[in-house]
Amino acid sequence: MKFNNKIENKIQNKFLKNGYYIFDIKKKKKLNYIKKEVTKYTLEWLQKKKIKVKLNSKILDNVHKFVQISELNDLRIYIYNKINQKKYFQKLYYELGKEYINIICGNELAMQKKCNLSIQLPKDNSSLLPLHSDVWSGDSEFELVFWLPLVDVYRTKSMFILSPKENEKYFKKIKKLNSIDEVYNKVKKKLKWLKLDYGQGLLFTQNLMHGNIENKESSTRFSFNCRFKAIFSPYRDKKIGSFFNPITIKPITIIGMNYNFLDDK
Amino acid sequence: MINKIGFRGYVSSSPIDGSVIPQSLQNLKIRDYAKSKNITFKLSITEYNFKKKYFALNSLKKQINTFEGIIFFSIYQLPINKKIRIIYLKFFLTKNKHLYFALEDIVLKKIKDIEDIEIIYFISENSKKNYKLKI
Repeated sequence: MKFNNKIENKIQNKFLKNGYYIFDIKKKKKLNYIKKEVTKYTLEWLQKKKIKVKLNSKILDNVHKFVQISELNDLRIYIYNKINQKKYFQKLYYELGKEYINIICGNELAMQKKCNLSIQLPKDNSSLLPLHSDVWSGDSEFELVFWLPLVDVYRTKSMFILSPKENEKYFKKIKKLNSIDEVYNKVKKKLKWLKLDYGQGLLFTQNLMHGNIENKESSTRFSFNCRFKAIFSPYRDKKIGSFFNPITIKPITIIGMNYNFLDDK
Repeated sequence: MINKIGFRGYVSSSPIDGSVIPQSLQNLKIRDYAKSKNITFKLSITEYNFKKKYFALNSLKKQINTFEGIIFFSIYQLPINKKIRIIYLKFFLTKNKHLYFALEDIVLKKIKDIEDIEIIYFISENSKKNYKLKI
């Protein structure tokens, strides 16, 4: 890219080649605060259910020891509502990835109004997101996902993604197939499983096929995901106002928006 | 005696931002939203499907002393024309009526809050693109 510095070029080229970019979060205190809040709400929920738990730093990894699969969604919604109600949360979340989101997506942005929370218990197939591309179900192809694990993730505890090259190849073959299982079977050897430590963030394009399968590891995954897009890039079913919120409107946009041309009615 | 307590709902019989949404669903969303905000929801008024006409909004202007505010289903029920839209919004806000928009979870309480909606309208108008996925 013409006017980028070397670091920006490196990040952008890597993103274009792989469809994703993993980075170390510099604002560790803010990340730890989010994790602490999620832990607090988890404990609150467990207390309400009268389940006794000793507080330790691995509580999220071990939540499957206390939560039944049938109650998992109740816990997930409880935390999701609590954390998204906090006014600071959206800002904090953006700040964790701001530097890289700005390089990959831009700096006049719209952000998903509520960050999604995913909890994947070991051997739980009730809350999977099988192979998909969000663009197939109404998301704009201009959206960037910021995926934030609150625990270390690897192999089936994590998520998979198909490279842009393979995605292009297999997407053309979809018209000959009839189900997602058939698509998955075709591409499964080409999938890249992403390994991230707690303290790292992932940015990826949801235009690429991605998803997860049953968590076959021995611990639970807690992760957030949230979408960002350049504010004037095209929207599809997820609209500005209801799904996205403008978060970094610049003064010249406000000035332009309020300018009245002489021939304006 | 006129009962001033409560908010009037506002539903539309014509498409909202390009989508036809059954009035029953619009009302369901408004009721649920009112509950989440702990505000009293009174009966909804239905806007007719007359182009660029706002008979129901005008009725609400005349009944201004009978409610605390309005819960719209969406900001996209407001007049498309910016000047007309702002005239309506200013009218209700200067009468100290709070305006809620259920789908977007936006609340207008003061004149300066109008900008929140205007920014969204502006972005929406300037980022439209129609296309279908080709495979």
